[in-house]
Amino acid sequence: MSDSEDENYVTFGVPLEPIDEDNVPRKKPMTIEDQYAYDAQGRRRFHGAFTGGFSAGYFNTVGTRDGWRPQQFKSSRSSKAESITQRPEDFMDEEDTSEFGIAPTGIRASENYVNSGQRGTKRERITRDNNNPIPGTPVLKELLKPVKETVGIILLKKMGWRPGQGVGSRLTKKQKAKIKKKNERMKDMQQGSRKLNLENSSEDSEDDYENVTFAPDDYEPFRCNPKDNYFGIGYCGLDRRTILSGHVNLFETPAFSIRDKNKKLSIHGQAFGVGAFEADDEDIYEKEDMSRYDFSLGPERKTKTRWSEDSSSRNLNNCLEGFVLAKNKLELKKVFPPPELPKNFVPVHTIRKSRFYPPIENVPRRTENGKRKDLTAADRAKILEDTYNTKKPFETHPNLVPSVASNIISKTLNLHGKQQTEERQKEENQRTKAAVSWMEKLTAQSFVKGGTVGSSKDSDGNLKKLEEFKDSSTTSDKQNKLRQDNVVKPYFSDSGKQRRFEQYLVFVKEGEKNKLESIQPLSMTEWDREHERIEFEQAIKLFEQPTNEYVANKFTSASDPSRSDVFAQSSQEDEIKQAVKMKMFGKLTREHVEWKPASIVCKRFNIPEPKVGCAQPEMQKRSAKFSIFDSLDFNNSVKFLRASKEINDVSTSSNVSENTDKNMLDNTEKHIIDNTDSNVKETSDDIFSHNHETIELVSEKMRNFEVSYEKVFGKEVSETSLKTDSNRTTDTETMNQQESQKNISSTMKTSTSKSKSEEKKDLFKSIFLSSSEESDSESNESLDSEAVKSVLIGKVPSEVNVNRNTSPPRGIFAKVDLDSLVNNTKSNVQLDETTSKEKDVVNTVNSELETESQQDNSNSNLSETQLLSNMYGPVLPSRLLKTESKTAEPSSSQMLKPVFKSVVVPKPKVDSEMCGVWVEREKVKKSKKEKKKHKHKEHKSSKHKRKSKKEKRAS
Amino acid sequence: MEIDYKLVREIECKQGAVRAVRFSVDGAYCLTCGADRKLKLWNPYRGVCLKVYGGHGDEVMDANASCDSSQIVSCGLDKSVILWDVATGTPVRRLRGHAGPVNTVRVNEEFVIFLIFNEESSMVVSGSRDNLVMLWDVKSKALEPVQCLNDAKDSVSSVRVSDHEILTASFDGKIRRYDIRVGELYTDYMGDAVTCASFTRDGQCVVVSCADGVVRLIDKDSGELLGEFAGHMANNLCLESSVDTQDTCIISGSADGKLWIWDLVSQKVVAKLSGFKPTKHPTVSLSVHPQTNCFLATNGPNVLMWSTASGQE
Repeated sequence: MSDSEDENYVTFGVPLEPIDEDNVPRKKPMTIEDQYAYDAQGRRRFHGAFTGGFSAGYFNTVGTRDGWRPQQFKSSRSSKAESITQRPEDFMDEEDTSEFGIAPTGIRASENYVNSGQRGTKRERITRDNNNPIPGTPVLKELLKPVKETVGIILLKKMGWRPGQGVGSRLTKKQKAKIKKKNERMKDMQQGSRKLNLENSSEDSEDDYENVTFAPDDYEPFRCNPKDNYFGIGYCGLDRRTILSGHVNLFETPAFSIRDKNKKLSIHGQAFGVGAFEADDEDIYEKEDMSRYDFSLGPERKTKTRWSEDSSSRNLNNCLEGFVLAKNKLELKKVFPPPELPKNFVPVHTIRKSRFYPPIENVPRRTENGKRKDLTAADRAKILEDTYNTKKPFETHPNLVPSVASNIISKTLNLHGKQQTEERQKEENQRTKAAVSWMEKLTAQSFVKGGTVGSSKDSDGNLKKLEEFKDSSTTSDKQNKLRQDNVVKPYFSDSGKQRRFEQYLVFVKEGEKNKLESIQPLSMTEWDREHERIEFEQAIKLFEQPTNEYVANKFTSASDPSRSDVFAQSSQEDEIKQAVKMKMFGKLTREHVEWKPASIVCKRFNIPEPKVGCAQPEMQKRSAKFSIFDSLDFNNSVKFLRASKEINDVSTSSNVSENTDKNMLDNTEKHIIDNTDSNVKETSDDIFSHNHETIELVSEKMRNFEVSYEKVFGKEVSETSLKTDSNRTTDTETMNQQESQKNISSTMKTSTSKSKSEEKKDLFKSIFLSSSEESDSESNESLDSEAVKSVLIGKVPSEVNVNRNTSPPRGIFAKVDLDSLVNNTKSNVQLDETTSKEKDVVNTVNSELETESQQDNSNSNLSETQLLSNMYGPVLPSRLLKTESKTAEPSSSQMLKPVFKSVVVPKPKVDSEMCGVWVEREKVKKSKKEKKKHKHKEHKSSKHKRKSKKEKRAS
Repeated sequence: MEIDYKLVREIECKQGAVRAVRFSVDGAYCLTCGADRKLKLWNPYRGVCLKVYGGHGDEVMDANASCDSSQIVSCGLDKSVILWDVATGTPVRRLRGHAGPVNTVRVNEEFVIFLIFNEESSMVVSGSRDNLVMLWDVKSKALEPVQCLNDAKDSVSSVRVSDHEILTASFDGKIRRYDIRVGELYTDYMGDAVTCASFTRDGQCVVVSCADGVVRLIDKDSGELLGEFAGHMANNLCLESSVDTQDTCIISGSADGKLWIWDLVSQKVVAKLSGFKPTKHPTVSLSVHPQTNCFLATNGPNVLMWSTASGQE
């Protein structure tokens, strides 16, 4: 049975030995729980909650009794800490290093040499070290192969495979050769053309053994040699080693061998690159080798040359090793030359308003050889409109040093300032044109100066007012003003007043301010005197005080800024100095002022606070930190808003500027220059340029009028010439009729204003105009009629109107802001009710308001006041009513009306929002409507009248 | 009466130029302000440095110890005033309000200490080159000055505090006495930049050092000139002056490196004190012991100490 079985079955493996029945252990095997690991001392190695805890405690300590101790780092100047590298053994017990520990020490066969049966399941990784001179697996490693075979090899061996053979079915010789060839080709492809066709030599022509099959060749996979150096591709550095050490490659460039101290050295590789200055290098990619260099003086050695020639000819295809020549050439990028500039091209951009306009001429900038020639100071001044500066430098006022820089700043910060000067100038020119006709006089004096009754004195006062609430934060702005005012002489246009002012200054110095009355002419009324005094006081303050409050705080000037009479003080100081010189200390050198210590200071000094009951002298608590917000006070911000309104103001203030010798031409030139300068001014400039276009068409009178007109209304969106013309004609009409400025502006507005900014401006205009109108309208009735007469007759208004208010704004009106406006109107309303106080009301008039004529709305105003008194709730801001009155007034051209309405209607809302006065809605609306109707009738009729008047005059 | 001044000690502070030297309130210690941004606490009698206070960003210009010697306040060119804890040497508070280098600093009740001993020093007065005198309440945590005296038109050179007055000297040539009790500011014009102004011990007069090289004794109440003390060299240095403990002498530093002492009544030079070896440095800052006639003066990097050993016997 056994025999037959043996033959039938194949047995694999070694059969288990038969179990010896007797030796079968009787006992039950120990359960896992009972199995303990003990250490060498018989102590339990693992213990703990679940008996799996590894004890690193006392018994299995790491180093010390307390277990492992973290390393300490100590370093001092005297003993610097060394860098310590920690090894895993530092964290190990002695047990761990014992034979059965985790890191046993002692000599044993490494894993490679362990019998394959005992090997772990992990596959051995083939490590290839590329640091060796020979790439690939180290030679020695191959020679001394460890007795290690993978399972596959062992199996293959068992199946009859032998090392050196390939795997697969046996092949005939032919097949084998074929495959070999194929492999070879593959290799060549990969390795490049290093070894071309030289392999075929071993090919035998024995075709006898057709039936004999061979084992296939072992296929050696191609391995890429990673680049492990930093040389350029294809370059291998010098390899200095003995001849026998390396593998001799016949097909490489021969090693240059020299004898060095009885030792033959072969030097492989390339030596140097090609020098940049070598002229006769035929091939820069040619491999250079050491054999080309002479190492000794003397005749060239034959062998060297032969080899080198051979090597040079070897590179047949002029191709770098490892590269193949490309078959198709790369397309070269075509480089286009830059376009040629036309001959008459000027590299300066000319601004064009629109394409229908000719380009606005630039400042004649001298360009030489394409370079901008440096501008002279005069040129720059011209560009910056710093003409005053160049003409008369300041000596009088030390802290107002004129500088171009400051001017620039002012220009950039305060763009309207420039416009102002410009317009002023223009206006001057206008005036020098010697008012030939009454019309010119009219425009130049009554209109431009900003008042129906604009005496020169009067306008001065206006100027003051304007200046005061104008943005005074920028010193340069003030500079401008001061320039015009001749620094300390703000009233130069009125010599009498100027004289009084100077005298007043003297009085102030002497501390006798009250003497002013004695020099005032008897013709002046009580009220006028009072106001002149106030005006003078303000003027002094204005000129002495540093412009910015913040600056004043920050920099204490040599004189005490809080005191207005600096002159007096300086003289006082001289006295003190004299006293000091005479060693008369005491009363003279002493002065004492009230000073209020802070309460906390008193507390800390344990002193009762002095003057507790008294009114506190203002004590500014200085914020310790510098903040930009310190310098921004509310007033200033208001002023900034107001800046937009200034276009109007300019017209009134413009008559102050003195230099009258500028002619029209000059002026136009100026404007052209301006064009290049700023964008903000563009619109106004447009008008001017526009003006130049049409200027020939218009008669001289008309031109004069236009100039002044533009000054009055400042910016307007330019239109087609037709439109403006028509407007102008309408305007002239209204002018002749002594129509109010506001009236005109409103018509203009309706026709032209479109842009947002424009609207804003108008809003402001409306605010200011309306508020004023009310106050004016009634009170000035009588005056106005007079003024109108005077104007019509052609007298100088200053002569006519002596009683006219010449005072600066006082009280809250000195610094008008929105809030005060509201108050203003309120008070005015009250005043209107008591119409007796004419002058006071006049006083409240703002500068630009005086340019209006009021005779026509007297009736309507009366109705307004009635309405107001009937109204419920807080007082309606008068400008609400005003805007309505405005609606009634617009020009005769009917086609403009709808536009106008659309502009005006939303306004009241905005206004009410702005002033924050609560108003009953319905009532207002009603009243509005009523008024509208009412006014329409009114104005039309009045207009008719005026028209007829004008016609009369014309005839 | 001849007073014999004896040079007791010369301490090399090793902290660059010593900008100021100040006795503590009880006279047991002194503080030196160095150009190396350090403040040092010394026992001048033994010449031992007790503690170094570092934390200023620039030269320390002046310092003053509080009445209980638990705190020091110092100021420097770094525009800050620092309140130090004496024991730990750490800055308790750093007061940055000045826009310019702080020249001088005082703790209040410095002079009152002999009258009211239990009083706390809770108010710091600092004068700066930004023309401001600032009053700081160090009891509160506020980092802003309690009050700001902006009357000076030029850099404030010295500040002194009495029980109810603040005396400031400024380069604008004026000394200003803020009387807290009355609530008034008395300004006296001195003709030239004032480098130092201090009260006499009796609190009736003010000793004023002017840049024109004259030390003036001014009557506090009337502002009249009581005496002039000249002869020393000012050389545009910010010299300090003081009276001695008994109000018998006027002491001032000088550009010649000596400490000049005048008799208060006769206005004659009593002594010119100098160190062991001649120096090229001027004597700028000085401090008088609160009780005994013992003077400390700076001289370049050194601090010199004299006392009237024989005078007391």
